[in-house]
Amino acid sequence: MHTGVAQNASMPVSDPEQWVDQCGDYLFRYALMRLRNHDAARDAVQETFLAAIKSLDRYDGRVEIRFWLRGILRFKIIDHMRKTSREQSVDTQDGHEILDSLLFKASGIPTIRPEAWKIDPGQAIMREEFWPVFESCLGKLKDLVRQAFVLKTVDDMETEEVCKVLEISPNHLWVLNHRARTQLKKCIEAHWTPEGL
Amino acid sequence: MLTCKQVSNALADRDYASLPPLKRAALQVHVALCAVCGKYNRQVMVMQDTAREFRAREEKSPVDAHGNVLAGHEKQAIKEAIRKATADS
Repeated sequence: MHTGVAQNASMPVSDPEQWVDQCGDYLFRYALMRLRNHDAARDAVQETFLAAIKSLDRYDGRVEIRFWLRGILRFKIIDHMRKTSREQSVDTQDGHEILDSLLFKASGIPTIRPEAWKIDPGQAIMREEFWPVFESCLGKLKDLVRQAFVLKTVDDMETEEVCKVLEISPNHLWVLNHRARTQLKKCIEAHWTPEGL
Repeated sequence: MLTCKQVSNALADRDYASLPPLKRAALQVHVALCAVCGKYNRQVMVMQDTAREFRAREEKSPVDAHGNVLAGHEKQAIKEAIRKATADS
């Protein structure tokens, strides 16, 4: 049944059990970063493998197996987010933010003037020690803020698609991403100290 | 010449690194010099740079910055589920 599928020497596709050792950690990391829940990430990875076995005849070997599996995993992650986002409400207490988003949309002129970074982010991101800080700060965001940031900014998904998954309007997405940027910047500035200063 | 609206919309839409080179260069010049939208859009670009670097690192290493991985017994359980699924099919 599995013959005829292109084989990659480093990644045999004929034995799905080997996927666990070869790309289990990679897929788990991908899921954990997006779901921020160990058990949910592990379950998404398992479901990915089981779904992949069923559609293995559709794998043509043109991409590495881990990327093919990651494509399936993305559906599982988005499914999970869709389910959990229904239980969250967008906090619209701050009417200014929504007004800003509308003004911004109409004119492209932001009324918000964020302060410049206290550190040089361009240098920081090239350093290994920056990433635990980044990941911790990301983990501190509220679920919906984080999900909006992860889908839109980290995964560079279309605005329309993100809005559908999270069941929010484009204005809310703008507000959530603005909040994410502001909070991440504040958190990173508080926890990242570049050496030599 | 790009307007603030065009620049802001382009940046709200997608990672500026994936824009065609000429449009990207024009956008970078506008943001660097613009007194109106520069401050705001520079912050958007910084986060896009950070996100892009994160994606690249994610591809390179199977372990996140905190060393989170699946436990051995979890991997065993997943293997068993796969074995069962392949035996059934």
